[in-house]
Amino acid sequence: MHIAEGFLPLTHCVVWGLASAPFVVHGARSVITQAKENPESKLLLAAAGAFTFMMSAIKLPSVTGSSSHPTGTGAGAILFKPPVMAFMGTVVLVFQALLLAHGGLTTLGANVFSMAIAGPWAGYAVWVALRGARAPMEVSVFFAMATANLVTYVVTSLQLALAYPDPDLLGAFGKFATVFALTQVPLAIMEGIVGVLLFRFLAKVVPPELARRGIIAAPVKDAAHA
Amino acid sequence: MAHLTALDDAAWQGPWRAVRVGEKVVLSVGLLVTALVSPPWPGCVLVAIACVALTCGPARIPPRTLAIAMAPALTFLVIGGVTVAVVLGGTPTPNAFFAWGPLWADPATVSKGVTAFSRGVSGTLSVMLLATTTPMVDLLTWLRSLGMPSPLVDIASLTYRLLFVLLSSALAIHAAQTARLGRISVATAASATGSLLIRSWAHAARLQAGLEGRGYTGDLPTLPRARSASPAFLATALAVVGAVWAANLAVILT
Repeated sequence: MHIAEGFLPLTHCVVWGLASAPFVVHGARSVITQAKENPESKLLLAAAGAFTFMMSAIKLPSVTGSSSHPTGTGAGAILFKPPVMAFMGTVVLVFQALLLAHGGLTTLGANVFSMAIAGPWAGYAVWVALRGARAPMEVSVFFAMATANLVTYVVTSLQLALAYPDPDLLGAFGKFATVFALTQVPLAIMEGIVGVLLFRFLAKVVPPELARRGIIAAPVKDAAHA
Repeated sequence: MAHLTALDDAAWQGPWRAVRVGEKVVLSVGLLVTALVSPPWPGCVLVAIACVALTCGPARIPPRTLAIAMAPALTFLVIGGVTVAVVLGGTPTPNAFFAWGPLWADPATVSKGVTAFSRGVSGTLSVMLLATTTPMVDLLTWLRSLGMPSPLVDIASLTYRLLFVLLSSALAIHAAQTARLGRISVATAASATGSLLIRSWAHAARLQAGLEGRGYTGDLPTLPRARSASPAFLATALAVVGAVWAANLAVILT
């Protein structure tokens, strides 16, 4: 769901850049704090960034100079919290623009706002709400990851509608959202299902990592034999 | 998935690697901003021609590499241009080219679609000029020299290096599944994704252990490659951008 280079008018590029900047700066500050307190967290964050890059490099053509793909940011928000994803998402988007010609530098602010801010925050809110309501991990992961993906697509549709409001904003939003939905809704459902299987796999293989992040309860240790 | 590294590979091998990053950024961003505010003719067309000529000419990037990089972006931009040109809903204007149900297009909407497409193509080519001539490592070193905080540059550098490790891991996982005649299903895709994530964590942990063995204190500076300033390159860059602006002004005034 990256808007291609040159597709937004200059004023929109500036406004979305300004809107994203506080979130990215806040994320960068929390990354710097984490890195100072715990230098090895740099490597884990880098691994998460590289993983998000690989996930979102799978892309399908969609409407209006944009593309559809799994975002991976829902999983990142659950594992590392949304502020960190705002910064890591920005790094990933810059790499995608320069290494894959996917997205762009002038549309970076808009793409950061949809994929690295709105999507992760919405997904994380759903995760917290469902876990607060004692929903099972699988249900919470499915809805969090699907929501992160869908909110990213809704915000991208809104950004495009604001840039090209023909015949009016609502009509344009309906047009972009409808055509986008052909590829993005199935992808969001698929990302939710893959997310459930992914977290099940992680809970089975690396439970201490998930427990340390508060995603699952800490594994109970067997009493040592005397 | 080898195309993921095609642009960076080209950047490492090209002769413009010896040019200062700041000078290449001036040229690329100058052309990018020009494309963003120019009409399709002459501005966007001239920016596109200049980018292709510079990339495949003095920068000696194989045209095939540029074509492979541009193909997906062009697909998105063509579909996008058509979507902007065609309006859904509202009342068709009297000079509409067609009106099929709620869909219609007139000269004004087609002009918007053409403008969006041409700005997208010329803008993408401007970024490709930078991407195919400047390795990511050089860009990150340049950002560090501009005062970007070290922990952020370190994380971006590590992310970049881990991309290639993950890419080889993904290829190994795919080859192993193929060798086992594994079926593609949602469950196997999720397991492969989980394996990739765990492998990336394991690589990060091993890298951490290796760094600690070398006395890692929290910073990962690298020696920047010394490059001398090139007034001729900068003058040429400004001349190219200035020429496009002059052509734009000439058309507006006539």
